[in-house]
Amino acid sequence: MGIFKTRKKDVAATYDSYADTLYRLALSHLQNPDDAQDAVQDVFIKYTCSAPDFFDKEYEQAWLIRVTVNHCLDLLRRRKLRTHQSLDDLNDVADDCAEPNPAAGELMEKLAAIPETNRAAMILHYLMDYPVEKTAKTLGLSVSATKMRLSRGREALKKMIGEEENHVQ
Amino acid sequence: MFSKTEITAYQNITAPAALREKILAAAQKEETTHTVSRRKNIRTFSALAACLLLTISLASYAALGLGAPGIKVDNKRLSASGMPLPSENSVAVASARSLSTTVIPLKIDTSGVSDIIVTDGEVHLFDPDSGELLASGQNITAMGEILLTWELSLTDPTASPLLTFTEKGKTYTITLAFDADEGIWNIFRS
Repeated sequence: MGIFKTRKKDVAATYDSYADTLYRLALSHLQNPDDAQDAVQDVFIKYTCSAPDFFDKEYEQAWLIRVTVNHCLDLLRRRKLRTHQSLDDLNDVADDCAEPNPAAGELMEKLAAIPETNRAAMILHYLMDYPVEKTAKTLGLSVSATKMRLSRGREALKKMIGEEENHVQ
Repeated sequence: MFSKTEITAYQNITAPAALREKILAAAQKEETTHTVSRRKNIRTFSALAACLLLTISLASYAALGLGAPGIKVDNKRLSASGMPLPSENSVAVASARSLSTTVIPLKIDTSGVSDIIVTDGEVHLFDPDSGELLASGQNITAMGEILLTWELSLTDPTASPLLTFTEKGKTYTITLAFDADEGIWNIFRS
């Protein structure tokens, strides 16, 4: 198998194709716009320096997504971020959208309730509409492992919704 | 799980406009740094004695495993001189799914994002804290303290399976080689 081959990459074209996707993923994990921007920048530096030759665009996208997710998970492990963010951070997320969108803040709060290791699978499948098989392939997981993560993610959301309903009552 | 409003809200999130220029500038800087490095190497090549001394020093430095990411096999530090693969009595090998499969437990300490590729078999990445399986495949990406197993079939003594990973633009290699005299597989780093 060929290993690494340095080649000039069209970073601008790749950025235009995937930056929004990667930023959303990073923001969903790190729950902070500044951290998400830094994460995306780190990913593109890695892409520039040491990404392998890609067979096709689908493989390239999967690689970028996987690098972003793993990078965010590692940042979370190292920094041990709190799962519940301050209201200011959630407002920053809403402010960062193309248009003011309070729903984004509520969505981020929901995503924060999902365990970090299950979050990427939930995002790809439910928010990006990836089939389970594509989700598994993108994340480098087996289909069964992916289904397990989706199941755990759903349980976490149900528990969160249940707790909110009890609180309201 | 998520309402249409929430899905739309998610898809409407876009990266800040300023991020594009920031990333393109950083990428350009990375490419320029690599070009400048190549030019410096060409200039210093003419000072042969100094280069030779530098090479010897660096080789010794690398052989001692200093400066390069730390690699452990079954919790034993791996050097350029290599070591036999963990014995068949080790827990890692005993837990292999089949007798024809070898499982090599590895721990790699990196300080950056690393892309790990194997020529044979596949690697499984685990969370160092919880032990949970995070990813599997022939090409995975990880960062920081990397805990993984390399699962492959070692039935061809002429094969030389490789695991490579990069950190900060440098590529490191872990190689398996069969010692016909001893009848065992050894693992090396370079």
